[in-house]
Amino acid sequence: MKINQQPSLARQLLRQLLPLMAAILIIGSGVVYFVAHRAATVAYDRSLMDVSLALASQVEIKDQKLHLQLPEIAEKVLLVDGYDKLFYEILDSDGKPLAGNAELPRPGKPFEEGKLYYDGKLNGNAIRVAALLSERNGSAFTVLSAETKLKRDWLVGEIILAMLVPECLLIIAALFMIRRVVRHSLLSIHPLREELVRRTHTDLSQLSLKDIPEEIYPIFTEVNELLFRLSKSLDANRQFIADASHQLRTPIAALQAEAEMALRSANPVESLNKIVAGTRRITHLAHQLLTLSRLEPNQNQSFIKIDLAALTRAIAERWMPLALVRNIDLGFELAPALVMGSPIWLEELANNVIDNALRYTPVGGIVTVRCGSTDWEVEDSGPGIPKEEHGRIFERFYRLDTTGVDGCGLGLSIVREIAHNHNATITIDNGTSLGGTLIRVTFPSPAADPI
Amino acid sequence: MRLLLVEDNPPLADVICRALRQEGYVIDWAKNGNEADSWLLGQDYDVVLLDLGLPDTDGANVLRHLRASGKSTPVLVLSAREAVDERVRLLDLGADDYVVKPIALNELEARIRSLIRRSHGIADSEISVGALRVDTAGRCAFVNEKPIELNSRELAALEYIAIRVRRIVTKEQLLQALYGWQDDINSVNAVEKVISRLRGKLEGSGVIIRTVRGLGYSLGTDEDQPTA
Repeated sequence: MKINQQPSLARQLLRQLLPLMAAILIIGSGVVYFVAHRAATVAYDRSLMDVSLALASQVEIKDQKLHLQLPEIAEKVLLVDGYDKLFYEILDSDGKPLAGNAELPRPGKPFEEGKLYYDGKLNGNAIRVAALLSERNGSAFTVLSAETKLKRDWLVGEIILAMLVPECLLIIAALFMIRRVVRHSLLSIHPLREELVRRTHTDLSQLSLKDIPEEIYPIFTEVNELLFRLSKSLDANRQFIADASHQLRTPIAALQAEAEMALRSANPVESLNKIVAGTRRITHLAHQLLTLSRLEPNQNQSFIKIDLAALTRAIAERWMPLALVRNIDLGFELAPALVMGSPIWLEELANNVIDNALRYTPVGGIVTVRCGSTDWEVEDSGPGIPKEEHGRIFERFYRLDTTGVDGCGLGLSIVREIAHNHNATITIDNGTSLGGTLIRVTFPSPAADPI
Repeated sequence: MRLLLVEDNPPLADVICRALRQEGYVIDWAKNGNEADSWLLGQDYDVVLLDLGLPDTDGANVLRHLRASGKSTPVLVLSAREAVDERVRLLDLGADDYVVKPIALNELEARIRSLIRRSHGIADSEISVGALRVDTAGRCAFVNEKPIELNSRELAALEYIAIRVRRIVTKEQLLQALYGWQDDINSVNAVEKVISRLRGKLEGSGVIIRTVRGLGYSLGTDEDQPTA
């Protein structure tokens, strides 16, 4: 047995429509019964009264007494009916029977214009009686005609049937049509479903929304929106992987060639030293690539309140060796700067900007790290970055054409991604105090942050 | 043989230069497209090794400029891009070969030799002139199947004139092919000395290096007449 937990449109429609239709059917049947019964009663009562009238006309005075003169042939004509049995009784003014073929129930109500119709029972069968007050030469008498109710019931039954059958057919047809229409309109999404089943996980092209019913159309436009966003992110990832593998090949090529040189050489120390340096560069590149790839889906980290001054102080020591090697005066001017952020990523950001400054500032230069309010910045005494390059230096793998500098071109794009995730803005400018480059990261004020 | 290496990655450029110099090539290094263009304007090279991802331009533009200037210098593209359509694009632009990094030095050297031979219409890696046989792949030379002793510069000079057998090679060409800028050679005397040493080693083989007065040298045998 198939158990379907999902709500079904057809079932829901049926569940709501069926009680309503049944109620209409029952009320309708009641009304029809009432109307049909009245019509049948009026019609057949009249012809029953005709029998009473005919019988009354056959009553004569004989020997000062009322006497029913009913020839056998007349009795046959009057009292024979295809369906019902007919009975009659004639009573004198005292209510004593004068003639008749059965003892009928007496009228219990006053006559209206000499006529009265009422229901009764004879030998356990329901009958209808038509009573008529009449007189012959001053002698009053009552004629009672009665008949069983077979043809009345038939007529009522037939009328009700004539009404009920089409009504029932209508309901059945409606139920059938509901199923059919629901199925049919949902059939239009069947090709879509098949298309989705056929698709591979890499096919994120838009769905064709032709013939989709208006009511469910918005669902599919949303699906298409989602597909679009997915394919954009997939493209970005693909591009990233292509870029990354491209960028890894060149240093690997250098390593391989250097290793071959070492094998050829009688004194491979120079080559081996270069291999070590090359390996360090590749390790750095791999770290940067990994950092960048981890950064991408991370948009809803839970931020905490961080003092950028404390954070910078904590990582300052790490940069002293490089500053010493390059004979760079690395200084810090730190004032409290409270921002909302992720400590790990902000450290990564700071490391990358400082690293960048230390690498690109010529030997003997000055690098100053400052923070305060919601700003964090690094200024150097280097050659500066030409204005036309400002837009490009944050691009992945973009490197200024400066030989002798050992960088992989990912540092600043990592900085940009982290800043972006923190809703911070980066400005790049020519520093006023040291004459080189000034990179400033401005964070949103923590008070303004809704977190 | 003089080569131009266009490569922006200093460690890789450095190791390729060292390896090829050991093989007797003279090699110039351009670290971006701009430098490559100016090197190619002022100098004829036997092979250009061209990286594609340059800091200032796509390496394809260097190739485009070279071909636009009417030079048919063999170009070996040394790329990190693996895609087939990238290969097709570069080969269609006039590249002679395309290799993807990383590449073994041996293979790189073999491809350079093959490009040099092909550019002179020689399919074989060996060139025979009379009793002289120069094996450009094995990097050695024989007279009557006996190996002759040559230093790398002499071998490079012999290869250079052997590939151009019976044609005139100017002293200027030889100077460029044998010495780089860093060698600080500013006279043709060095070339003359190398040729004179080669002549000594070819003595009695029937293979001679003729002097074409006012022009340069031509390799041939004592049976033929120099064209010129």
